[in-house]
Amino acid sequence: MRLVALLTLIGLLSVPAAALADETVPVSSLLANPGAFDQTVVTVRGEIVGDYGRRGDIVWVQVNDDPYVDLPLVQRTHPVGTNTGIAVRYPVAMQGDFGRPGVYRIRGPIVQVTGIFRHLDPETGGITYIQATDLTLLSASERVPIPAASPVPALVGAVLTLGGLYAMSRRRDMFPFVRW
Amino acid sequence: MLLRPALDDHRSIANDLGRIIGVLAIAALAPLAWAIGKGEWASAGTFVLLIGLTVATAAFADRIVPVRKRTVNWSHGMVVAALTWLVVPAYSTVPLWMSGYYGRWIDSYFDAMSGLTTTGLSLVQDVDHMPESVNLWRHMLQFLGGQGIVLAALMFLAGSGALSLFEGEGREHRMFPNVRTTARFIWMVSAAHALIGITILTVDGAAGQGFGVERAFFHAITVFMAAFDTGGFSPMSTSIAYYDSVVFEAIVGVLMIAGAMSFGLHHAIWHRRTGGGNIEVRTILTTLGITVGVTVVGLVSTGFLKDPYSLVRIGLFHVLSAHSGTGFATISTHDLASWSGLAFAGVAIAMALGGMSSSTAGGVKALRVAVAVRAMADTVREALLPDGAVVGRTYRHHGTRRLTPMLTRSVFAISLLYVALYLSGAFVALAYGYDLQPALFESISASAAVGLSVGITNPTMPVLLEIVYILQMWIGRLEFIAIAALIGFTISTAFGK
Repeated sequence: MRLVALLTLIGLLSVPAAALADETVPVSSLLANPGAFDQTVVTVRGEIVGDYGRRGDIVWVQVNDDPYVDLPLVQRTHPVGTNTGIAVRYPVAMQGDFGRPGVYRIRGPIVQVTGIFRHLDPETGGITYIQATDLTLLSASERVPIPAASPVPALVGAVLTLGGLYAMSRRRDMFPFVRW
Repeated sequence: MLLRPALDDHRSIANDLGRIIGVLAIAALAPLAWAIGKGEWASAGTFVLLIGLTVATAAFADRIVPVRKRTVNWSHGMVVAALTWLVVPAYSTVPLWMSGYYGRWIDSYFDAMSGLTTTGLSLVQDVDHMPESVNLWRHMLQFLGGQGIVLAALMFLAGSGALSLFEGEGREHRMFPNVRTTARFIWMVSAAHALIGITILTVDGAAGQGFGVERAFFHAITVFMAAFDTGGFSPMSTSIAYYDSVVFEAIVGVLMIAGAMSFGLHHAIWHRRTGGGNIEVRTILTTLGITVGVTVVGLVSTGFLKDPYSLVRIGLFHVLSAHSGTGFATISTHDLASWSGLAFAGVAIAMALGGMSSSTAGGVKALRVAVAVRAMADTVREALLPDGAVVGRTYRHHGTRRLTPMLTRSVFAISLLYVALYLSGAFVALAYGYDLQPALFESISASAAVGLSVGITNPTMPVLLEIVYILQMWIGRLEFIAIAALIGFTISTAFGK
């Protein structure tokens, strides 16, 4: 028993301070310095994007913690960088009514994930992910309001298409680009 | 004395160029339909605009010079091929740039060039929330470029200039005497692979990974186009790691191999002939085995990976991805950048060597490696044998061929030009302060149309370096000859009499 307690203490002391605290670890830090966090308990906050990969008892998702979590790109005037995401695995029992993962026009559920960070996990053949032990929904998925599409590109395109087709039809061999 | 091209030459080139651009209008119909189906109206408008611009360009080019007066020779075909690969990416940027997912226009041009040349390096931002139709367009560019834009045009077009246009895209081996029939065969092979590949990936996505059928189909169609055309774009930011599926990776691996195979080999297999005696097949199997071995030893010796399962899943997949010129990854950019020593060397050499000739892959190509090795071996044999002994200089590649001095010179020249291309981008990156290893890695990746990245390619990269990578992708895809023809044509226009 004392041995277990001693090992636990050693384990806790070896965990980075950031991981021990309630504060979240940026995914970029996990990816940039994976050795420092490997096999430790970490907490990340971010948006579930793409799809829920439901495989039997587990769910596999990608959680992004880039700037688009706070303000989606469609509501910005300019992109502010690439996505930063990490794979998260959790038991299907943890899955609540989170709503649709983030895609175009949908901001996915914002969640806080606490779990063990596994870098190049040998059991899965070298995959890097967080094995979640706790998953808290901070904000359910929602539709992002976007401005109505301008009709100008479509109108210009339609006029050019019709004009081009008319010009080609005036030639004896219609649609010459299909005949060399 | 340099002869200045006549006005009719310019008109003729413009005419051909315009009509090839017209083919882009047909390709844009698919993402337009997807955008309408998904209610992505802003994107739908940009696809209509792209169609309008390409149709108008084709019509305008058609009015410049009447078809009956058109003259196309070898030089014209090469110039048209070179210009096509510069101009088509510019048109292709319309939906990309207008989507708002690129910081600068040049970034969208970079992605279009990367897509068409099947490189796979990308500067898109927030791809995880990108409209599906625009994401589909990115992947369609890889399919269109992998098969060959000019080749796409040649499916419908035929005539005196067809052969030079065909060769201008870096293709050498025709399966049929007629270029048009060859073009149709290539597209038929691709369609057959598409049908099978997309079906299997959709079933795996829906049944194996638990995606909805609609999303599974979207992933399948995009990943298929990126895998079979050895492109390397992926619909999600984490590349193939997004799927965390050994089965999915295995299917993708088969598609990457199929894409890196020459269409001549596809033709042989199609007609139930084995490619076992083919020098190119033996060479690529040998180099793949060597680079996998070198990489695995490197990964073990640096302690990056130790267990056999991870070594096979990570090591084999990434070398295959590099050698086929695909550029898919299942580990993060940071992890890939940390590969050093033999692991770095294995992947870099695999990227530099590339796939087979007349395939969708880039790089030096296995056939050139084989011919160069055979030529060197023959030279050594000749030195060892008594005077007057005759060394048989032949090799097997879709039949027995003679290894002529001219062919040998050509192979060494092109191979050296590739080395120079690899080094040129590395020098520019070094000038910007990057370390040698990542600078060389990224440069090879761009030139050999691979797409694996160690992080240099990102939206904040210097514009000049971005332009250099664009040029490397363009030159590497066309394999120098068409570029030389374009330079010659430009010089003749400027200084000829």
